[in-house]
Amino acid sequence: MNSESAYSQQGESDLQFSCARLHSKVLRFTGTTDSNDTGLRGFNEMAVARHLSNAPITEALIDFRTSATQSLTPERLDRLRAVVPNEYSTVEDIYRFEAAFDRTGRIQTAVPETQLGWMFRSADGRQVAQFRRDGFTFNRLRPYTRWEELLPQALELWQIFVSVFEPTEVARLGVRFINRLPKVEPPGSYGLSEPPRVPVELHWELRGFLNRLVVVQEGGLSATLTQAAEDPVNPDRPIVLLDVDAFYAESLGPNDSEIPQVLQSLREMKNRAFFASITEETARLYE
Amino acid sequence: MSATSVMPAFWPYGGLLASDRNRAVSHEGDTLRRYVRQVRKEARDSITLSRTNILALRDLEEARHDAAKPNWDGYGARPISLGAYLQASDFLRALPADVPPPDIAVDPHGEVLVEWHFTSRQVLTVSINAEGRLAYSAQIGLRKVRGTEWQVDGVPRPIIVALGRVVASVHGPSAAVRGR
Repeated sequence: MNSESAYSQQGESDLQFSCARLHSKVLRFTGTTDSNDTGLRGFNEMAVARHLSNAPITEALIDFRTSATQSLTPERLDRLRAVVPNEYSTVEDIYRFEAAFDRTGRIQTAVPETQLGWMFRSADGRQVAQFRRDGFTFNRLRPYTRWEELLPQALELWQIFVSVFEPTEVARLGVRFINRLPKVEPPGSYGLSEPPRVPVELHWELRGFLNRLVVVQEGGLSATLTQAAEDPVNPDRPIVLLDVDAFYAESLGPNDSEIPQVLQSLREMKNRAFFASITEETARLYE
Repeated sequence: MSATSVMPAFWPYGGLLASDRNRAVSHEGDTLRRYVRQVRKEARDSITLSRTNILALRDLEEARHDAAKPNWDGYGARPISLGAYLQASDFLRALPADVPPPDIAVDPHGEVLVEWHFTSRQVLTVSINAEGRLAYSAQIGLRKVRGTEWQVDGVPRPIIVALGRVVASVHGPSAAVRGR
């Protein structure tokens, strides 16, 4: 079996699908959250990668980080307004404000606002182009469309950033997908193939968690995987947040021809991480 | 075995709880950021885990207070740059908890200086400006290492490596793995 095809989001043949499911069942022994189970434990079958018609994606980001050397001038804003597509009809300033509060709630230390960039929003609010002092981010909010639609848009807007801000390098490329799973199976393990577990001996119920892993793959690709139970936690019907932020932190030129391929590789890594993180039963809920 | 090879795996990424300069705009992205910040805050509030960060941030506040006005040193120094202060704050928050707490100062140009000074031959200095440029210089025995990095995501690996080498030259290679 070609292991790479198991992670493709193209349609799978029945035979490949069956082989992929068999592969995912092998050695996925993870135990259960049943604190009374002291015998042989079951396992959570990880999901097979495939297209999900109702994918639980709440936000997709394609992110380009540069050094924080770009200045924010009225001239740059004028140039952006002239070249950013008209569908991005709203422009907002992005600010950073920092303050520390004492125990009574009074401000103890405050630093005045500092502008970080401009945010261009589409009329329907679903797409955002952030032009910042330290890079560019393209955001797509629910409902997610298709990677094949979003990537060209992100690259076009990135070229606008390059022409206006003239960065000297790309320090980090990122593809991040935030998923909100309002339904999961089995609920006792939060629909995760590798759920967090309370030691059996404690006989305590798990009521909430935040897991964060930073992982590295060959070729310089890395990812931050974040899993959390959304508050307030209903143990019978938990809502799970699954955030996969795949990134490449080696320097590239702003017009490097490898950028699209790196982003594609990051997207594939993101897909692998997503499907490996959830159970097959959970994946079926979003077909 | 060099100090570099025994560095903990997460050091190059600035720590699991370091600021990730969140670019998400959705409600769920904000929720996740809030959860991580809460964990980071609670970790900082723990004396065992947060001594480095707390002490360093406290020193930064003192330095900011002392260098708030023009000519704060009596020799025409510029006040601390707001941008440099914010960049330094991010840098110090991203320091791993088991790093020795640095000394903080402001230079006459208004930039923030972060320094680990053990002896005259075991020193690492990082100068932080408003744009996030991190100019570092390390004296490791007879060797001198210099470079410039940019603060994008946590503490850049070359600076972590340089710090590890300085610490190792003071305490021996095992110091880089103590407490893992």
